[in-house]
Amino acid sequence: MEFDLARPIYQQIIDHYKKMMIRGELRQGDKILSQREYAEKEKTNPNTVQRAYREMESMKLVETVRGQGTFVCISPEQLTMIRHEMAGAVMESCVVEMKALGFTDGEIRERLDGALQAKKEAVNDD
Amino acid sequence: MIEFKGVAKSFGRTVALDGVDITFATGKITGLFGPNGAGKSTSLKLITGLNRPDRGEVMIDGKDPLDSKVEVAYLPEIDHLYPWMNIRQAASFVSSFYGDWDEKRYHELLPFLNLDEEMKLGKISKGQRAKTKLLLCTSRRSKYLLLDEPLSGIDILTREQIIQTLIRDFREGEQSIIISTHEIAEVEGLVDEVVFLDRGRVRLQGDAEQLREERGMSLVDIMKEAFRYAN
Amino acid sequence: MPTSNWQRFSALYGKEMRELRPEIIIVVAMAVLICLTMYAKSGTDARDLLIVPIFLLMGLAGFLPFVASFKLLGREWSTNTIYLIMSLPVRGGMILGTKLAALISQYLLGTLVVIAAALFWVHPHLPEIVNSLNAMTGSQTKLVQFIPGIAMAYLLSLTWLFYLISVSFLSQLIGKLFTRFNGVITLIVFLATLAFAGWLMDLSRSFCQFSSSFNILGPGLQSSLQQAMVFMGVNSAIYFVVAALIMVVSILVYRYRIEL
Repeated sequence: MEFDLARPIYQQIIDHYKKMMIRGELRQGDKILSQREYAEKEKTNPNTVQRAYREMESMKLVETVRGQGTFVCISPEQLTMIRHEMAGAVMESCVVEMKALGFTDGEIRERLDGALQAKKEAVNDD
Repeated sequence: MIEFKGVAKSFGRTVALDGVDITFATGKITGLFGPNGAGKSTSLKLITGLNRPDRGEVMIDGKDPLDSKVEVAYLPEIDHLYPWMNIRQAASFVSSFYGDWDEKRYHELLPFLNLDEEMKLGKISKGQRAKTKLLLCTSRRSKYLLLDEPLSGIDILTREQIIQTLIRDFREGEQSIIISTHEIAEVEGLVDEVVFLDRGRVRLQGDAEQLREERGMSLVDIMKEAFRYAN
Repeated sequence: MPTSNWQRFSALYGKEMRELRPEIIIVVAMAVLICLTMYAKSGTDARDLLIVPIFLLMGLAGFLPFVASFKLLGREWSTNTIYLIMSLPVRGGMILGTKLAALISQYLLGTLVVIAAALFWVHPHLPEIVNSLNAMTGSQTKLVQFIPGIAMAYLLSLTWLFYLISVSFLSQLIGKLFTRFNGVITLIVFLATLAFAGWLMDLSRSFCQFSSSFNILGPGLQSSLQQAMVFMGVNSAIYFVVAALIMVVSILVYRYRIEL
C-alpha cells in the first residue's frame, strides 16, 4: 500500500482497515495482522502502526486478546455509522472540488448521474 | 534519551554545529535530515564520542558519551571495518566487546541479507559492505542505533532489505534509532520524529505525523519550504 | 552483562598479531632458509658461514617491531578502522597496550627463533668459543656463568624496544592532532622525545652513580661480568620507567585530545 506522505500515516492505516471492514473483506471476529507483521509488510514504522492500532481499539473497531492477536470487533451499528462517515467525507471533498472548478449544483448532479451510468455500462460490458 | 545542549563544533574554520539544542526521543526512530554539510555526521560522531564539542554538552541518559559507548551501535558512512577480515571474523571481533550481541539474530540475518560468513570485507561490493555494517550493528540489541547515510549509493533491492531489517528488529519504546540522511524520501515512512539541520542550525524539530497533519505536506516538501525561507 | 576485559584484550591482541603476521613470517621463513642452506652445505666451515646471516637476521628481528609500530597505529587512520576502534567501549590503555603487547610478542618470537636457529648449529662448538673468550680476557668463567649476562642483555634489549615503541606511539598520536604536515610533526616530536628522554636518562644514571647503593665503580664487585650485569640492570629499569611514563602520556593524548 502506498501511503500519501502529505497526510498522517496512522490515519491512513485506520482508513485502510475501515475500508476493508466496510467492503466486508474483514468481518466481526476476523484476525488482523499483528502490529509487527503489518509494519514489516507495509515497510512502515512500528510506532506508527501501534498508534493506529491503539486508536482503532479506543474506537472499538478491534480488540487485542493477550497471546492470541488482534481481532475485528466492530458492531453492525458501528459499521453503518462508519460507512456513512466515509461516504460523507468522499462526497464533501467531491463537491468542494467540483465547486472549485466552477460547476453549479445542477451541473454537479448531471455529472454524477452520468458517471453512475457509465459505471453501469462498463459492468454490463464485462 | 540523547540531549544536545548549546552544542557547538567547528573543524578549523568550518562551523559544523552552531550552538544547537536537540532532544532525541527514547524509543523512537528519529530522522536527522539536511543537506550535505549541515552537521548531521558531526552530530552522530559527537554522540559516539569520536568528537568532543567545543561548547555545550552532549548527554546520553545524563552521561558523557565516552562512558556510554557500550550502549551505542554506530554505522558510519565510510567503510570502517578491517578489509582482511571475513564476515565471521568481523562478527567475532565485534561481539567480543558487547554483552548485547545476539548470536541467534546474527545467524538469522545472514541469509536474509544474502551474506556469506566467508566473504572477505575487502573484496565485496559496496552494497554488501553496507549490509555487513548493518548486520554487525543490528545483531546487537543496543539501546541506541546511529546510522549515517545507510542507504547512499546502494541499489534499490538492497535498500529494501536494509529498511526491512531495520523495521523487523526495531524494539519500539526501548530502542532509539537515529537515521541521518540527505535523502528524506527514502525514509519518510519510517521516522517518528524529525530534526532538520542546515549549516549547523536546527531549522525544525518535531513529530513527523504532527507536522504532516499541521502542514498537509510530506516531510520532503516541508524541508524544501523550510530551506526556502531560510535562504 | 558486559564482556570481560580478558575477552576484549584477546580480541584486540589477536587482531594486532594478525596484522603483524607478514613480518613474523618473513623472519621465521628466513631463519628456516638459513638453516636449510647450512644443512645443505654442512661441514666444518658451516659455523663460520652462519655468523653473518644470523647476525643480520637478528638485527632484522629486533628492528622490525619498531618499524611495525608505525604501521600498527598509522594504519588504523589510513584504513579508517580508527572509526571502529574509537567507537569500541574500551579505554585507550587497552588499545595501545594490546598493540604494545603484540609488538613485544613479535620481537620475542623473531629473536628467539633466530637464537634457536643459531644455537642449533653452534651448540657443538660452544665449549671452544668459551675457551677462546677466556683466553682473550684472561678469566676462568664457565659457560653456565655467561647465561645470566646474556639474559640480562636480552632484557635490556626488551626495555629498549619498549622505550622506542612508546616514543613512536606518542609522536604518531601528537602528529594526528594536526590536520596538515602530520608526517613532519611526527618526526619532529619523535626526535624531540628521544632527546628529552635521553637527557632524563643521563640524569637518572648520574643519580644512580652517585647514590651509594649503586656505586658500580666501587671496589665491592669482583668481575667485569658482574659490573656489566649491574650496569645493564640499572639501564633496563631506567628505560622501563621512562617508557612507561611516555606510554601514560600517549594514553592521555588518545583519551583527551584525539578526535576524528
